Order: sequence, then structure tokens, then C-alpha cells
Amino acid sequence: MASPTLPNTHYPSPSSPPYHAEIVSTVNAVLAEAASNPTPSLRCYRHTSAQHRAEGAATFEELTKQVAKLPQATQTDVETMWSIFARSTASTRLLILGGLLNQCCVPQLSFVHQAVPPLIRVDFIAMSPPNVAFKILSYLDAKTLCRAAQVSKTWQLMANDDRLWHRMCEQHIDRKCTKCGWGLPLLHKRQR
Amino acid sequence: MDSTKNDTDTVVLRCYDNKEFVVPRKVARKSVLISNMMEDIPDGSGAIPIHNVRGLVMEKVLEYCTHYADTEVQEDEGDSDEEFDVPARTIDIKPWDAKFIDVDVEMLFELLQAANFLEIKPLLNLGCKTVASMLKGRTPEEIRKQFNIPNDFTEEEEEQIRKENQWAEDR
Repeated sequence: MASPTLPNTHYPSPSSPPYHAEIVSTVNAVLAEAASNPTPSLRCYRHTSAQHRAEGAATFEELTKQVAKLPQATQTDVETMWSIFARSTASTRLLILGGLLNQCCVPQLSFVHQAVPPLIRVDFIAMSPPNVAFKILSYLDAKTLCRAAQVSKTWQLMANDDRLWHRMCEQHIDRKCTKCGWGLPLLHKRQR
Repeated sequence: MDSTKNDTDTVVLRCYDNKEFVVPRKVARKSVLISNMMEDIPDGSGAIPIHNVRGLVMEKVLEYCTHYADTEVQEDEGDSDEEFDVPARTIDIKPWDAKFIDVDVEMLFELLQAANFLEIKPLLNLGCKTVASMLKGRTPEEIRKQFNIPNDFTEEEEEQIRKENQWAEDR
């Protein structure tokens, strides 16, 4: 299994005492294991998507930089907490999170509220089996389908599939379509 | 209610995280996969393993199946055997369905995968309609942002593909 590339290269940082580096490498190892072997959740989207893994590694790097500025004792505390969480099972993680949320003041809850939505965005087209991706696209009108084709290479491949355009054009034969050669769809004047 | 004796019986479904659900057979039969498994596995041989679905998602799936336990699958909800059947291009979602599917993105994703795996076509259609409605009226950049998709086109490719698709914007 491809091991995620967590930023080992930054440790030990010159300013850190050796034992700090040791803890960080432990945390890294545990995080790497959690990411490459997602036992806490069988099909965790975050740990199967290369992009999410890369983003996670970047965030982790940024966080550890900030932690490195803290007093030594606090650094150890933070790293210990991360490490415990990383090696906990899925159900234990939920308990830990529940307890942490319960302790939060409103500004911290507000932070969580803002931080979570971007983390759980999912590329439905790239991550779904092709029949599901096609079904999603089959509900789109011609205009949105054309826009979908411009999102990424994967989306382009799916959205340009002849089976989608064949049906759309067959139903709205007007004049010849440059995309599929069948007929240009009549677009709805109003957005549904 | 006009159900046969079999339909009052229950079946046990066990998810991969070992959560078990005792479900009336007529509810379980909403899934083509489970329905087939019930036929293949003799009565009383224990729980039916559902390896690809976790408990939390199964709970939601069963909420749907229970709600529609006494409703026959409608023709337009796709009874065909085609691997790819194109439904009507209208996104009309019934009020109960809309409330049911108002979940976070992660749950919506898992529900879609579960409906596909368990072969519950009306639920799969509902999920796909919901994602499609999230795309409508959005620009490519808005879609990328919404679903966290990197733009992997070069500038030239982007310009080229924008031109190819311009006709839809102009009409």
C-alpha cells in the first residue's frame, strides 16, 4: 500500500532538542500508519484520496511548525495528545472528540464549525463507480453538463461521454451537434 | 396489511463494524442484493454479512427502506436492467425524500455508495439527483471549490475546452 508522504524531512529541526524530534517521528509514524492502514474506518474517503492525503500532510506540517514555537512542556503535551488520538480506534476517537467538544468554549466551537466543512468535501464524480458518476451527470441539463466538462480531466472524460449526449440530443433534435453529431439540444430558457 | 407470513419475519443484517440490525424481511427486500442473499441463505443460518456498509450508514439506509417498505418501485425509478439508464432530466425530489437526504457531504457520499452496492435503485436515484442539484447553475470554478477538485488542465487546455463548450453559454 502506498505510504503517505508525511513531512519527515523537517525533523529534527535545528532548534529542537533531540527528544522532541523523537516524539515527532513517533507521531509521524502513527499518523502514517493511520493513513495507510485506515482500520478506524474501512472506506475513509480522506485516507483513500491522494489529494486529501497531500492536503493533510501540508496541514500537519503547518501545525507542527506552530507547535515548535511553544514552550517545551506544552509541545510535549500537544504531541502526546495527537499521538494518542492517532492510535485510537474509530469508536474511541469519537469519545475523545465528544469530550473535547464538550470542553470547548464558543470561540473554539466556532473554529470547529468553520474548519470542518472544507475537510469533508468529496469529489463525487471521481470517487464514485462509473455507473454512479454517469447517473449523477444524467440529471444535468446541457449547459451544466458543458460546465461539468470543464472542471477537471476526469470530469471532462465523464461529461463528454456519448451516452449522455446521445440521449440528450435524440430528445431535442434541432440541428447537428458538434459534440456528438446527433442534434443540438434545445436549452431550457429558465433554470429549473 | 396484506403481507404474507414471510414478510412479518425478520432478518439480521451485520455491518462490517459488527453493528447488527434486526429488520423485517419486506424492508430488507428493498435491497436487491440482500433480497438475493435471503433467497440463497437458508432461514436460521444467522446474520447476513454486509461487508461494505458501516452501521451509521446502514441505519440511514434502513430508515429509507422502512419508509418505502409498502411502496412498490415505480417504473420511472428505474427497474431496467440496463447498466446505464437515462432518467428524465428533471430533478424533482419529494418532500420526505428531501428531508431524508439533507445530510452532510460525507454521509451523502456513503449513502450513494451503499445504495449502489445494495442495489436500492430509488435511493441511488435520489442521491444522484441530490448531487446533480448541487451542480446546477454553478461555474466550473465554483464546482471545483465546492467539491475540492484540483484544476488539472493547463492554461491552453482550459482555453480550448472553454471554447468547445461555449455554445451552451451562448444559446
